[in-house]
Amino acid sequence: MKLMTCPLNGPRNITEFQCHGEVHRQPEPSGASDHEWAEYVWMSNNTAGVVREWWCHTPTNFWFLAERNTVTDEILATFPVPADGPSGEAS
Amino acid sequence: MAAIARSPFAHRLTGAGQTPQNENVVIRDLSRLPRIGFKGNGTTKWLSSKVSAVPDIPNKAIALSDGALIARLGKEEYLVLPDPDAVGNVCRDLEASWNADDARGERRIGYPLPRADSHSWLHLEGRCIAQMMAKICGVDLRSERLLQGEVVQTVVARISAVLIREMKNDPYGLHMLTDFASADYLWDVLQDASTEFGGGFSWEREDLK
Repeated sequence: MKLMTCPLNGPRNITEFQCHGEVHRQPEPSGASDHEWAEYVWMSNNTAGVVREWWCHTPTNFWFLAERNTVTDEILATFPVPADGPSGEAS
Repeated sequence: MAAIARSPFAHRLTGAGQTPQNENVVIRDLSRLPRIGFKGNGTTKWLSSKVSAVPDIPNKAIALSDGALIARLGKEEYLVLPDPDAVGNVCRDLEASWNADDARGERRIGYPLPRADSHSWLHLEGRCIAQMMAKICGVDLRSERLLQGEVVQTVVARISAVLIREMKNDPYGLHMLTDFASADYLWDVLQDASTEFGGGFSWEREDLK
């Protein structure tokens, strides 16, 4: 069984989680060009290596961030989204 | 409405009743009892003003003086279960209180969750509950690992479940709340899992009202 540590619920079977892709910074909607916005909505980096991703623990619908090596599929760290910090920065 | 008219297991509770062969695994359907949840910004503050105490961290439950359980499922999410053996008015009172506050225009008080309509409620009791659950749940629920009043939100038999360890130590007891619509499937899973221990569902004719 592959385990992932949910910041709220602790270690759980990986099947309890869904990956929702890389963390992207949203450009300011009112000031972004069409190109910037399309880039944000449609494109992903598909990095081979350590990436920061959104994950969701589905039984609790708890969203958090994880750092994962996409080459080895090793999960390096998980952490909650700080309520008062920028998205993707560990508290 | 904090209670429902008919349990999702009702069509399985037939005949004069059933009692398991022993006390290893005894499963009771409590789905007809009231239960309610609250969620959203301000819920902790609001609920704290209505009951004597709330759990200080998520995934913990506490018992109120009337036996009702308050389980904290998240930073701003709670589940309230009455004492199955002495159902009081806690759910009805909290719902009425929230409606009154909402009607007065109070803001940041969260919102109620009609848990009776979304979750079936089973009570599992006996010496072999943790062993039986190990067959269908990936979390270690043994009594020395899951202490009284601890809450586990996980997957049981591939459906999401909220598990709450009862406050009393002996016998080991677990409340299990799962998706209402999957009750028929869950019945078969639990019957299958508990047969090994000579256990199963327990009900009496009076439960069929």
